[in-house]
Amino acid sequence: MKQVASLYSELVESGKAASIRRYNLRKLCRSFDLPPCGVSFWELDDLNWDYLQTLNRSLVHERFVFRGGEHFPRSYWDDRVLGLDRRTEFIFLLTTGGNQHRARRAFFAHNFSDSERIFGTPKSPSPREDGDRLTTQFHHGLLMDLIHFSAHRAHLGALADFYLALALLTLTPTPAEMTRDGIFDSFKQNFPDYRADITRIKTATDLESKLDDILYLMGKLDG
Amino acid sequence: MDRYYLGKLVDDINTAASQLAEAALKPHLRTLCALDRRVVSGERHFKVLRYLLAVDHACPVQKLLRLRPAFENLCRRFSGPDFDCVCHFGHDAPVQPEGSDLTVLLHFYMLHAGRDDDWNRHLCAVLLDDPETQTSLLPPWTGFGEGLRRDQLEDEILSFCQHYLSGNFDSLIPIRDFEAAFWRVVNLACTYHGADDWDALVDLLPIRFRERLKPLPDNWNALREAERSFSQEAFVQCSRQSIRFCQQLMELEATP
Repeated sequence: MKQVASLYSELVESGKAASIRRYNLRKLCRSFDLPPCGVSFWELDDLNWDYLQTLNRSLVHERFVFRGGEHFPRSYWDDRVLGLDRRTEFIFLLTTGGNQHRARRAFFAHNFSDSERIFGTPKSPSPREDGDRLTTQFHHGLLMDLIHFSAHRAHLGALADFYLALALLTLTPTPAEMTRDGIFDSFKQNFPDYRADITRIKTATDLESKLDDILYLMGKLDG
Repeated sequence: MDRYYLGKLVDDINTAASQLAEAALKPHLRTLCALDRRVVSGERHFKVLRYLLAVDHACPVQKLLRLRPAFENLCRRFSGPDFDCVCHFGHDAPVQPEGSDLTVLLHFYMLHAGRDDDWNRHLCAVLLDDPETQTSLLPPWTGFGEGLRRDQLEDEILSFCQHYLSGNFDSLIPIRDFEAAFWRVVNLACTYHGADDWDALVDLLPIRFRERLKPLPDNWNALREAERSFSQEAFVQCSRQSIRFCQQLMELEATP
């Protein structure tokens, strides 16, 4: 099977993409029992139709499904709930040296730098700030997705934990272990005021009270 | 269905949807705006109704979880032999009509209750396709049209181009998804550049592109109307022009 890494090398070497920065979320995903997933930022020299058409044709891959970055993480969970255990690659486009998708670039560069792989030479450095705007987005993403996935109760607890983990990552230094427990523990150490909230969420047995606790905490962090 | 009955139907759905949301979320519903009160004759087979709703932080999850089944019931009640009604929460993904004459999609999006922030401004700007009449429905705290940043517009443009990059346009579903992404860019760009509508927006672009770009919305409409005799060629033409439009938007300086 062709690796995504070799596909990306080819795209950059053949000049189809100017550069690609990729983050591997494998460890985080494994701790949620999810298939591997990656997030990549593509620098493009041009936005014209022929260029995008050529890229579109070269994106064929038998194991990975490519999605727009703005669908992270919903479409990943859509697959999960439907029982399609496929690997997902989320793509964000940037213009060469451009300033787009700042918040997401900062978020992944900050938290997933261990797994970063760079193809070619990016002209836009990863921005450092803007984590706080994502806290709101993750909070709202969870509200929407709880409604969207409400018919699939068995997945709701893990889905909410996944969103909470992402929201906590916008606020803490990078945890030693990029797993559900690693992120929760690191947050407890850095924000002792919330120790009790995290413990209650981790040990909850009733789904609805767990979800209420998560929404309440995310609302406070986002406030 | 003629315009008169479609207009009545839209009013009925809007009334039923707001009553349902109010009853289901009481007393935590802070706002519900039904953004579509107009009837566009060009969308005979396919109509999207958008709702913005906001709940306060104390809203129990139990009420949120009951929302979707309640709206699915409502959609079933409105659907008939020649008419489908379907709801989606938090995204534009449309569905394929199943041989019925008219499909109405209800799209729900969640606002950040009571806050004047980036999230609200961006969400409203991408969803409002008729700011002149629709802004009056929004609560003032959404801060509509204020403080949009250049990079928010560029993010939206690049997300649209990404749709084309990873898309597989062999059926109407991804094509409508792509068109919806196109309209998000148009709506946001109109607000960012202070243009009233599509024509005013295109008038900001260099004169040599205007003639070719002006008919773009009509071309998208025609593509949607002709859904049962879908033409790949017409789609390629539409997408090529749409991406050209995005290229021009990236070049366009902010209006003072």
